[in-house]
Amino acid sequence: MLLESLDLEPGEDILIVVRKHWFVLACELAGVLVVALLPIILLNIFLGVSGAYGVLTVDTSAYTSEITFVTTLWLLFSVFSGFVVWTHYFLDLWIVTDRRIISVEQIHFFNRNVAIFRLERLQDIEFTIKGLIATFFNYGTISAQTAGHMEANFTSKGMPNPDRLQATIQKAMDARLSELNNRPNLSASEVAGE
Amino acid sequence: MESVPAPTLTLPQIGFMPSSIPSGDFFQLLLYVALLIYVIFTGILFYHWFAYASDKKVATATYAAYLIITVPMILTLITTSVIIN
Repeated sequence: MLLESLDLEPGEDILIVVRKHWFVLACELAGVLVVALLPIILLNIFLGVSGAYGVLTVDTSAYTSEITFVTTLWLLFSVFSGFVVWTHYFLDLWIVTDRRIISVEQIHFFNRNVAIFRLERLQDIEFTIKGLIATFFNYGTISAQTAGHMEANFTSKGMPNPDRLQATIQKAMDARLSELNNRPNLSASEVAGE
Repeated sequence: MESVPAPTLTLPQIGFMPSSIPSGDFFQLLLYVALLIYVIFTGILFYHWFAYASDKKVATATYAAYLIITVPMILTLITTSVIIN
């Protein structure tokens, strides 16, 4: 399991675990559903229209098993797609602790990107809510920038309540910075929680 | 004017099925390929949920839903393949 393998530092608490907004998942699953039903609908329309206008009659009665087989096979692959969407939705997440942000991006199967950013190195965090639907459902893109030798950015689209997430991160960042400022003699390894 | 009856076509004639190989063999081959893909996909899916899921309950519900939905489909494929043969 993910949380067991994350190896949290002693005393580190998880503040919030965020996944993409449910509407993003619903849209992707609706797309899968349309693709799943499309051939069946098209076949029925084709048979219905061609039969009604007397263009041609396709005799399918002798091929019930074959049609069942092909339809089931198509639906099976559609179910696979649905589970791929669900898996990517669930395994793609942000974990905000009182010391770090862990961004897990499940791009495809066997293509996974895990980025860890320490709150004290976070420079800027911003969000955008773009469009009517995103405004209505309150989801948007959140991006953060860290300071370092090479400035790193990380962005996630479709995050729910980005304003609240930004506030949580900001608050955790302020608390972390004030904790570090009150203990100026901490070594680098102690800052890293080692 | 005398109406001409619409021509009745079979599925191979409209390209739904290949007519060059016996349909029984064709569907049996499709079944084996589908079963192979199913086994591989199931392994990959279960591995990802086992290794990376953050919630055991959701992972278990996903395994159950996956099996409840797909096993009847696989059984349907096997049954229809037997009927076709």
